[in-house]
Amino acid sequence: MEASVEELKSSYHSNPIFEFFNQDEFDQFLKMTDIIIYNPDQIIFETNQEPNGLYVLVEGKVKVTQTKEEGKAPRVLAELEAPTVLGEMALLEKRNRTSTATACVRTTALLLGKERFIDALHKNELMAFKLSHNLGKILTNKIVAMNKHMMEMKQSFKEFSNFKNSLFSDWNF
Amino acid sequence: MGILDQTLYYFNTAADTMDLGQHIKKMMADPYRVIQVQIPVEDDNGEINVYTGYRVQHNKGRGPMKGGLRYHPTVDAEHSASLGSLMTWKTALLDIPFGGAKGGINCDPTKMSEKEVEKVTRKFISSIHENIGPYKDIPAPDVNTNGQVMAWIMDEYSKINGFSPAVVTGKPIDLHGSEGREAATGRGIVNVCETLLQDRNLDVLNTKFVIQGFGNVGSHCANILHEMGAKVIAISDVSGGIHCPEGLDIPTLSAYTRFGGLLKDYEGYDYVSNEDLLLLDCDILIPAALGRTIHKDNASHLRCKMVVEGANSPVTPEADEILDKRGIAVAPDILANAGGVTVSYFEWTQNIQQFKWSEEDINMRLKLRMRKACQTVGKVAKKYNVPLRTAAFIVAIGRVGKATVLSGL
Repeated sequence: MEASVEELKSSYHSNPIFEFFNQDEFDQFLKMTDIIIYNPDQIIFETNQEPNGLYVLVEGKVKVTQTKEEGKAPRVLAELEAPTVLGEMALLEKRNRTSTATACVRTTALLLGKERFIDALHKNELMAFKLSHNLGKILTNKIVAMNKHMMEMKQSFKEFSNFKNSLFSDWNF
Repeated sequence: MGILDQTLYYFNTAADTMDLGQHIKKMMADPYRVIQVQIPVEDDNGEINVYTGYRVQHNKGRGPMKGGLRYHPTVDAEHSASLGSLMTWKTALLDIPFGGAKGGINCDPTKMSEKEVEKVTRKFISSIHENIGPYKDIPAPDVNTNGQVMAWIMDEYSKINGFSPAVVTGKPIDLHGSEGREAATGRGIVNVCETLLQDRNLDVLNTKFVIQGFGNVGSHCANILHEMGAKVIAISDVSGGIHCPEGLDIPTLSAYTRFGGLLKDYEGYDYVSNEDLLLLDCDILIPAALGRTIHKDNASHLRCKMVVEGANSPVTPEADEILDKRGIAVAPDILANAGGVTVSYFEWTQNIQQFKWSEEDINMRLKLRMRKACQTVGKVAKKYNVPLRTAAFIVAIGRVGKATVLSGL
């Protein structure tokens, strides 16, 4: 097993996806996942790809990009560094991937397939419910951050619009 | 507050009056481009000296960037950025179609031979020639640079780009320079004084002037005022000053100082120190020497009715506040000493037109621009109930903002 996964066994509590997990539940989670190692610049998943599951980044760094118009350079949405999760929406809905994730450096990830997760839920596994709770919390934090960003953008638009109006009225010298 | 922070302080005061948000403030205050180059040159003794050259291009919203090149050991990027922003506001205030820039080299030309200064200049221009040009960025003389340095710049740039007199201003008259350039700053100050007096229904003839500094700016200013029949009652140079309530014989004093005479040694008038000169009873005080001469400790003791800033930053922000409370109007440097950059613009215009204007024509055009800028500042000051300095920045920020928005962000 990869050294970074071994390290994760002793420090999994610091990863928000494992909040409230005990050692048995974490071991159960590990058994359900595949360990994948990506080389620098290797694509983890691509836009429009069918979702295969949730990635738990154990080691490394991943760049998430989106291409709005064909032929234009992709826009960097985020740069995620381990320990964190990636592609969590795949566990909750059927929509194809909306962005592309590429490893920036050598990266180790644990992939939890959607079927395995649903299966655990059907079996009333407490670990799966804890995972659902933690996913909800991660998404909530993302929504809060997005709202804050939207408010800042709105403020910036308003500021610019006021500036533009004043330039051609009050400050037209 | 340091001299470098003053421009930003005045900018922020005006921006707050205009209720500008943080994003707009940042967009307007930060420089467009900062250029730093290494200038290794061999001196006359065969030793290698490595200097650093800077050009900070602050804003190009209103046109090619414009500003001086100074040669001084204290030149650095931060210094150049602050002074470059001042050029942006100055050109906008005078409605000159230029942006702002500043730069220089951290060398000490007082300890260098002419040949070494030429070498450093040519090397600097060969390093930055892609970023300057008649329609990009047009340098001009500043501290320790002169018409000769500008002539070398023109020659070095023209070697690479073909005949380009408009790449630089402040050139010697015999090499595509402009008539009236030498006296321009002093003449512009007089134009501002005239307009301020007219706005207050006063007359230059019945006005008493005190001028600190009798170098290029102060002496031209004094001579023009004297020619107009005004009473210049005190002047000073680095050695000290002289005072006569009935008025000084300025042409004689100019001839005296031109041949190296120090004012403190001139007989026939009362001696006054540079500090006491500022406190003389007069109508208009023109500090045209160094920065920060009027500060919080002497601002309460000034006995003038108006201050017209001939030098850059002669009044500190603390003193500015005291003078405002005392009802003493301060015509700010970005307005009062903008005659130089205005005639630089005329030089550039003549160069690109390949046509020479007469001195009368230049002086007339300068007067119109200075008067118009001064009147606009006066109106804005009344409208917003702010000091002339804040009003000047409001006008300038408004004009740069409009050009930026119209060009598209």
